Formats: sequence, C-alpha cells, structure tokens
Amino acid sequence: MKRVLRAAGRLWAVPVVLVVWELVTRAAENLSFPPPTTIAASMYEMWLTGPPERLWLTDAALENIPASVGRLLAGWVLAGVIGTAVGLVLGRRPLYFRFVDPLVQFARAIPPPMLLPFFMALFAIGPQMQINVIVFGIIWPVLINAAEGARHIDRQYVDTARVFGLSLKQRLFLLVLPAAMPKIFAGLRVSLSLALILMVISELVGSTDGIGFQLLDAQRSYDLPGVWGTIVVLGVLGYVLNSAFLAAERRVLSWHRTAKQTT
Amino acid sequence: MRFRLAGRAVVAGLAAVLTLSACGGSDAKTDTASASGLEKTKITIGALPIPDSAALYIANKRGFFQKEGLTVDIQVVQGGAQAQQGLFGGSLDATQTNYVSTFLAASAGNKPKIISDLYQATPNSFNLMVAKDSSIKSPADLKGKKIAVNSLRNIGTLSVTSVLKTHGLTDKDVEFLEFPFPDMAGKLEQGVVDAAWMTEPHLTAVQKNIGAQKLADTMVDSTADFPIAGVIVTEDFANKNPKTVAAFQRAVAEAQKISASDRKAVEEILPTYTKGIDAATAAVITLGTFPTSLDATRLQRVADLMLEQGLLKSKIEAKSLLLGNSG
Repeated sequence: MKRVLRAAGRLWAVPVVLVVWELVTRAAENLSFPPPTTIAASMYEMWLTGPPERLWLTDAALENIPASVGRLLAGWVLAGVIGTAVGLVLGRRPLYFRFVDPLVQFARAIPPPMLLPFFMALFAIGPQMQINVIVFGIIWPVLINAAEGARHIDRQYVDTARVFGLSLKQRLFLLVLPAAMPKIFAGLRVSLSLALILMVISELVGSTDGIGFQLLDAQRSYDLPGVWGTIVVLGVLGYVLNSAFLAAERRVLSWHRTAKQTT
Repeated sequence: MRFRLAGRAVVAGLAAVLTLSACGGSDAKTDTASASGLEKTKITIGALPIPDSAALYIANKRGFFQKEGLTVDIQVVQGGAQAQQGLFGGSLDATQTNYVSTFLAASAGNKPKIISDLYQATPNSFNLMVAKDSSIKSPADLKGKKIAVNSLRNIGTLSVTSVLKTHGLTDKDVEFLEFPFPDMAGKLEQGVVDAAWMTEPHLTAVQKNIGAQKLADTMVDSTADFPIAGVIVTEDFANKNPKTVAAFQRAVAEAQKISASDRKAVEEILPTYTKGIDAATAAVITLGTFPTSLDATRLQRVADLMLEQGLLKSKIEAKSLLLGNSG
C-alpha cells in the first residue's frame, strides 16, 4: 500500500502536465502542436489498427519498431563486447594505453552523424550500415570506462592473485573483469542512450524502414500528430530501455555492493 | 522537502509546456508601414538551388524587389517539403515549393496560398538517371531498387511512380530515399542508390562528370508539361500583408517574363546560386518553361494525379489555394 502511494506520489505530475498540455494546445489551435488526445489517436491509428490475429499490430508497427529496436540492440551488444575486450587489454597494458589513447580521444570527439555519408559509401544502405554507425558512435564510453576500471584495480587483489598463482585466463575472469564491472556498466548505460539517438539519426538519412523513417515519412505527409506520436514512442522506448538496464545492473552488480561492504 | 521538490518539478514542467505552445504562436512582428504603404518590407523566402527559382534571383539582382520597396532574403533549402515546414512553423515568410508538397500540406489542414507560378516541366527537364554501367536498362528493371529523390512524397515520387506505372510497377516495388540534388551524383557513383530522380543543372553535370545514363524522362504522358513549382505563403500572411504580397507578385512576374523570353538571363544567373555549375554547363542544360500567369486549371492536374495515385484522400480544388487572378 505504501509503495503504491509512493509511486503515485512520484507520478502525479504526469497527468497534471498532460491535462495542461491538452488545454493549452486546444486553446492555441496550432497545427504544429496537436493536443495529446489527437496524438494518442494517431498513434493508435498508426500502430494498433491491424488484424486481431496479430494482436492488432499494423504493418507499420511490425516492420518499423522491431527493425529499429533490433538494430539498436545489435549495435549496443557489439559495442559492449568489443569495447569491453579492447578496454580491458588497454587498461592492463599501460604501454598500449599510452599509444592508443590519443587515437581513442580523437575518434571519440568526432560527432558520429558526420560520418554517415562515409558509412553509406562503405556499406550498402540497410541494417549493416546503421549498426556500424551505432557501434562506432557508442563504443567509446564502454571502452574508456573498461580501461579505467581495469587500470585501477585494488593493489591487494592483484597481489593476492599473484600469491595464489592465478593463470592469465583466471586473472581476467576472476579479477580484472569483475573489478572493472561497475565502470563497464556505467559506460554501457551512457552507450544505451547514445544508441537510441544514433538509431534515429541513421534512419532519418538514407533508410527505408524503422521508427526514424516513419518519423520522416510522417513529416513529409504533414502528419504532425504522427510526428509527435513517433516522438512519444521514442521517448517511451528510451525510458523502457533505461529502466530495464537499471534493473539488470542492480541484479548483476549486487555482489559488488555486498563485497565492498565486507572489506 | 520532498513536496517542495515535486512542486518545483511541476512548475518547471508547466513552464516547458507553456514555452512550447508559445513557440507555436509565432506572432512575427511585422515591420511597420514603409513609405510605399507595405505592411512588411522585409521578406525571408526559401528557394531550391535549381533553375525553378531563377526568377527570384533575377528579381533580386535586377532590383525588381527593391523597386517595389521590398528587401528579400533568399534562403537555400533542400526541398519544398522541408521549406514548407519552415513556412508553417514561421521561420520563412514565403517559399518556393513543388505543388505536390503544397497540396499535401493543404490536405493535412494547413492553409498555403500559391502566389506565383515559377516552373513548368518540358521533356527531359526531370529525368531518372542510373550509373554509367548500370544493369538497369528500363524502368521495368527498377523492381526492388533504391531511387534517390530530393524529398519523399513530392513531385519526384509522384512523377517516378507515374513512370513505374507505365512499366507495370507500383511505388511499393521500389524504395525511395531522400538526398539533396547536389549529393545524388555521389550516391549514384558509390552505388548507395540504383537510380536518381534529378533535374538541371545536376542532370547535365552528372552525365558529364560520372557518365551517368538517362533511364527515363519522368515528365511524359500524365506528367507531360506538368506544373512543377511556385511560391507560396500562408493564408494568414496573405490576409495580413495583402500589399506586400501584391508587390512581391509584381516583382516576380517581371522577372518571370525575363526568364521566359531570355534564356541567356537564366544562364547568367544560374551559376550565381547553384554550386559547381559554370557558364558552359549552364548554356547546354535543358530548361523547363517559366509560366507568366497562375492558372488553376493547370494546377488542378497535379491534385488530380495525386488523388489517382492515392497521395490525396479526397479531391482538392486548386482554385481554393489561389489568392486571385493576379500573376
């Protein structure tokens, strides 16, 4: 009961904002700013008016949303794996790190949308190009954080590992990776929100499906409620991904908190 | 404390909502009356860097606007659809646009008013191009291919769809991608797209520079002599600034007469606002015609073809988008 009340207390602003938004937009009667009820109706029309055997999902919903989410997750997982692997190596080998660091800092500073035309020329338009753009754009926070995490491992742990004569593989999986985990997760979280942005951008330019494409198409059709509806879906998607990530992080890193407490 | 924080969050949220809706209002302050009695003397107009907009640049260069007491700032835009968004959003006072985008905007509840006709198609003024050694030999080979257009759902997609139809395909058989005209040559060469819908001066340039081949003329049959582009303002703007609009129309009409009768004038002005086009190229490009009057019957063809292709859900009378008979 208390929990429900607390949740309600946290969310009470949402309906208030929605009602005010509705009233203001109704009064303004500006086509560019449709009221939330119109946006909701347009979202329903766009995605939920399909046949019942497909849970009422329309072609647009089945084509665009899974395509976008798929590319986003594929890019994020790839960036996570590659970034962590490279980052750990760099973190444990100060010499490599010194050489590679300027390159990393340079590559990280390039705004990824600027590279879209090059990726378009390198890969055919399609998921491959979009995933590459996402990976290139979001790998840096993971890589840098993993390197940081691996660099600053408690001396005591390292010495203990040496005393017990752990092999390289054991050291990596029992010491370095777990010790760097909180940092890696911090990097992964930043990457996830970046991945959403890059997903949309890569679909706005040179794409034929996805949520970003639907946004562009709605714009070109002067379907402003549709544009807003797509924006709402993107917002919800970002919120859901972040919440899911936080839940996973709490679970995976719970040992870390308890371990810290006992030392 | 918690409550105060939450309260602040609400205030911030409200402020955000109010600011957003305030942006939509866009009560552009009109310049106060000038000596010539114009409601507004400074106009910002969107234009594409293609021959369609020649009259606007000629009017500016030869002082036709100044003579009417107008200062016209021409802003380069990628496509009519994008420009119209700027117009309805309030960042542009007027814009060049293709008529397909205009009818589409009108069908969505916007209120555009066409004030000047600028450009009409002639054979080979808007062609589908393919790369030098493309395997695509006929529009029928375009099934499953990617076609570059400057904007989705505009005159490009409409005329290409009409060509596809002649060859037994529909717009569902191909994929349209948005690229600005100047980028299309590169995209064709890199194989990013299989075909590109282009207009001059890029048509001539792409043949000369990368040896691109013409696949089809898109201004044939149902799109022969098709009305392409004109200048629009919002109904609101036209109502508030009737004298400014009339002055603008007179200046453009004067320039339009020059474009229509004197090809040299167009050739001279083109290199000043299109990138990478020298005088030699300008001399050989295929130009459309520059209509000197605004005619509802001609414009109606666009709306009717859009209805036929399903781009419009219900019939629109072209007449309803005109101010009067002034050209």
